[in-house]
Amino acid sequence: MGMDSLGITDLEDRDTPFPTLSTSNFSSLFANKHIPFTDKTVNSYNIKYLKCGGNHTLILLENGILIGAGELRELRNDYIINDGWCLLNYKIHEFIKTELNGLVDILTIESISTCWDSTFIEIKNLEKNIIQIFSFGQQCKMELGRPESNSKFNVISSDIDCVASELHSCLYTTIAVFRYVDNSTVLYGWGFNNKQQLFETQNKSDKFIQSPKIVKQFLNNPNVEFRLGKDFLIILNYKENSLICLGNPKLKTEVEQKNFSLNKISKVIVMWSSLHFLYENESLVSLGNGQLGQLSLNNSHLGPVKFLEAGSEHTIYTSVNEPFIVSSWGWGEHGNCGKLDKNKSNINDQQIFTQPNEILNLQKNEFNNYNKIQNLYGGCASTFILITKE
Amino acid sequence: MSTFYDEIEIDDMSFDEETKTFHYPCPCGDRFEIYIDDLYFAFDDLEKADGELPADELSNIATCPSCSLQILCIGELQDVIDIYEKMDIPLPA
Repeated sequence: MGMDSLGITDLEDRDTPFPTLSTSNFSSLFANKHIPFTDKTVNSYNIKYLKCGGNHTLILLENGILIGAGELRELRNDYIINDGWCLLNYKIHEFIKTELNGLVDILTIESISTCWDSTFIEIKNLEKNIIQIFSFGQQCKMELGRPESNSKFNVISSDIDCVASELHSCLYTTIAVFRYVDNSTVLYGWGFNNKQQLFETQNKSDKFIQSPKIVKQFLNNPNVEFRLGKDFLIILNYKENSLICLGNPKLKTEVEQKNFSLNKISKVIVMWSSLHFLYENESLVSLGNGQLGQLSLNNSHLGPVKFLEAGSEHTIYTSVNEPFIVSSWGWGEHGNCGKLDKNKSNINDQQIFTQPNEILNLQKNEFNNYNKIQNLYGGCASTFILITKE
Repeated sequence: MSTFYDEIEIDDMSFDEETKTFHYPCPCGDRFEIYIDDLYFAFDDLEKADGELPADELSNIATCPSCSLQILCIGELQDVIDIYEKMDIPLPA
């Protein structure tokens, strides 16, 4: 794995949490700086999104500040926050200033996503409610949504009155969701379509969607959500109580056989090749590839869940009853599920966690009085834990 | 790992002309890789065995340099020969 995607500059795996970034000094660090794409009305340095590509990690703060670590390609600049992390807003502005639909002062970074070797940024025009999506990095399966040689970085723009939007990427595929004031939802997709996760293919060239195309439109339906795995797309249509899986035929069959009712499902999370359904009664149903322990807790009762998130092939979990503990199960070869169980004789068994393994217990290990688990994030064999002071 | 993480068509893998290697993303953040000559001989062996070999004799396997996961590469010998021809390099002896 690319260790510098953890924001740590040495190349050692970590099986115990290690401080990588603190936002505690950000208000003074960024004070009086005119940083493009920040929302001046939002005075929050809280993390809005943390997304991981193959070898890079992006963190978007609620005020629009975007920082990154690892292989950032053309976005890396000389505005260094610490050894591992740097601010990206200036560099992004430098690249896209000629393509912007509005004055910079009314534009903010709204959302982000990461493919394997590329990055997507959503810029929102706060006055007109228009979203513009830009892509950066490298591609090998058309995942940038535009020609790599193109001097323009814009991939797609929404119509006006786009009240909400989302970006999801996995491996070489990206979807963008635009939700409009008239309650319509439009789903666009581009990149790798190898298992027909976006569109049915007629011939080999249909495997690559070179620019955004409408995958689905939902009129008068804002209650539809989407999840993207490495070769599948899950559509959760709450209005019609239907769950559709596109792509990976084996997973598609499994989903169809289960005949899910969304009314009782409180959360759906996806790994690269499998997914979890958390029910309101706190039981977990898991589907897909389970050879690395990903499905070990299938049909088990988790109890009240505070956080449940997924990395590439592992799950991270904190319960309501023990909100100071982070546990993980699934594939943990690089320490992302915590310390390997050396009592097991077989190395392969050590790397596969079939039960939640404690990664962090803030009652035992406090980090400078930071005593509250605020959120969890998963990446490629990596786990990020956000802790705060109570 | 004793079993394959996934089975990937070589069409879906990327080919690096400089290193003459097929590769595909690994969930650890590195890449599975297999050298073109190794894949050529692996598919050649498979073809000679009418497409069926015991699992422990398969060598159309791409490995990840950073972890223990492996993928099985799926395709035809001719697919690999096409790459040699496209690159204008001789087939391995």
